[in-house]
Amino acid sequence: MTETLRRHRGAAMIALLALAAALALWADINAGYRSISLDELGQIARGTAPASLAYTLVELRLPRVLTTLLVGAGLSLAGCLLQGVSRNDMADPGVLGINAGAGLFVAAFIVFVPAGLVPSTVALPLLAFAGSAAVAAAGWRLSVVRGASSPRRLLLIGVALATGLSSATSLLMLSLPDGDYAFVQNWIAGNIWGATWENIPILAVGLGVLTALALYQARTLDVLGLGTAAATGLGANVPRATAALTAVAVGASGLCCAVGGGLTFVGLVCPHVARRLVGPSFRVLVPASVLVGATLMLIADIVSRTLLAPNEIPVGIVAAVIGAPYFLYLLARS
Amino acid sequence: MEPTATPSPSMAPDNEKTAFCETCDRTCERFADAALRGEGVAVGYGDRLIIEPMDVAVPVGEVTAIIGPNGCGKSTLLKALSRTMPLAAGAVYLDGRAIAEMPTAEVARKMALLPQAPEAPGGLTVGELVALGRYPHQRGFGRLSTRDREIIAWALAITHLDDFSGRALDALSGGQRQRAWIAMALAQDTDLILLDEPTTYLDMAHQLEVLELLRSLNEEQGKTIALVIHELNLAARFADWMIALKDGSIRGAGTPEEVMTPAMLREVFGLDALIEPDPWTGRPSLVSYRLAR
Repeated sequence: MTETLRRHRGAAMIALLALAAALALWADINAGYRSISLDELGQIARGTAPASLAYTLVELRLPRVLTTLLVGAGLSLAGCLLQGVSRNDMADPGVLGINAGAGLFVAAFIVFVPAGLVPSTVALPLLAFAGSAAVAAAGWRLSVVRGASSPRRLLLIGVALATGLSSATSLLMLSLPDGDYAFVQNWIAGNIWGATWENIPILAVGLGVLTALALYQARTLDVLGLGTAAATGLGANVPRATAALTAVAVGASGLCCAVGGGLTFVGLVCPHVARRLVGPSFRVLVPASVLVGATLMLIADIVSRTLLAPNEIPVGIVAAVIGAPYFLYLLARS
Repeated sequence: MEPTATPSPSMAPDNEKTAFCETCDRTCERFADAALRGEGVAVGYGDRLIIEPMDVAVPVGEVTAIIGPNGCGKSTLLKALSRTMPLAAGAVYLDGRAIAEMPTAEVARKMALLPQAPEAPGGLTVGELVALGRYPHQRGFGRLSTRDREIIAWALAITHLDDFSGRALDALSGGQRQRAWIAMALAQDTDLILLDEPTTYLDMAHQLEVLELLRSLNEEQGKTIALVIHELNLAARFADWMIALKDGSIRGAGTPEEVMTPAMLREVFGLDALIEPDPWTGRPSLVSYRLAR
């Protein structure tokens, strides 16, 4: 039957994407001035490897690579949910103003809090998450008219908030010395600066829970895709489901923003790529988006760390450079 | 021609708000036992009322057609009755129970709704769309049960879409697509189906095809059906009960013979109409018309 065929196709596609993500992971672990063979990986696992090799992999390479993978997956999940809930192909976490809010909080911290007062490795992820959540909440509050929010209004308000907050951030940054200015600029471009072993479990567990929630709501997402009236007719509580799924998306992008900086584009493009591959049904689209997001970010990370080695290009910029042509191609075709 | 020149019960100058139709009121069986019933229903934005307080009913086991000119509020009325638009006043009862007090999923197990010009995400297949009709019956992660699959297969068969299950919805013709949406509503397995302009944007043959499908669902499956429709002859041909709206209030409700009258068409549409029984169906039929002066 065509239906079972389609399900098998979906499963096969997910398996292929998982394989691609695994290959990209391995390639990213090996990217850099010192590649690591499978033998050496075994030695490291058994604890018989030279200390310097183990250090390179475990302390330098792995946190960075794993964080990249998780951030890509999380942003793509957030974009997938926002595009589904709003029925708008241009929705992504950046459009909601979430990144801009985090950016403003980070810039304000650098400008107003004297260096060394609070360790920035602790403060910045928290501030970035707080900034994301605050802007998301403010946007939601502003979008409520006559007791109801609409995703369309939320996106428009998000665009306005993002523009306003980015300008405020630029204003603050004018007073910064060159070094700090570069840091904030780098942060906004998105450079996975919070890649530490402490952050990885938080990110992994948080995104795992949010992905599970999204999967649990997959059928509701499908129904919401038919429009408010049809979804209501099918018995979905549209306002509540929209609010809950938007919250899941904000949570995911807030977590990613906290360690990854202001990455845009990943959340916009990856769900589109996933939809091309597996179709619009969210039961397969959610896992596919997560895998495409992880893969794209890992590839971007490889380029970012090797192209101008030993200098690094912010991975967010690389992701946009890779993603933009494909996105333009999609737009030109439709 | 003065409106008073053609006396008709529906033209009573004091348009009583509590009257259900021109001949009876809330005590009428057709109203009291209605599948869907609105009492004092009003809809509005701010101070402006789009639907004036009205009593309205979808009689059980019948096909009801809601007619009226553009902007008369007929779609709004259907939305109000189907809880997709908030009421300014009044209450809607489904099988005698207030809809506002029922969980929305429970309502969806009793009443299906096909909105006007619905749009599905690109690439969605007919089979996937129809399967979504099982949404109000599913729990948790929602794997389709054997019963779900049976009903989906039945809905596809009865709409003659068995062979289209794997096709993308956006690759179908307008008539096929409308049938797919009807199949989705059928998969909801409800006794009552509301449709907002299901024939708009279809050519004449496809309009007939959709309406004959609805008629057979009514006759063979016992479905109660209410639809908003522009084509008066088709409304009179396929409906058992007609509701004529103008400026947000009911100007006539009754059988096609009671509603499809020159006087009603003059009042509701501002038309001079020549109406004769259709030689094939015996239903009142609009032979010719011009703007009333």
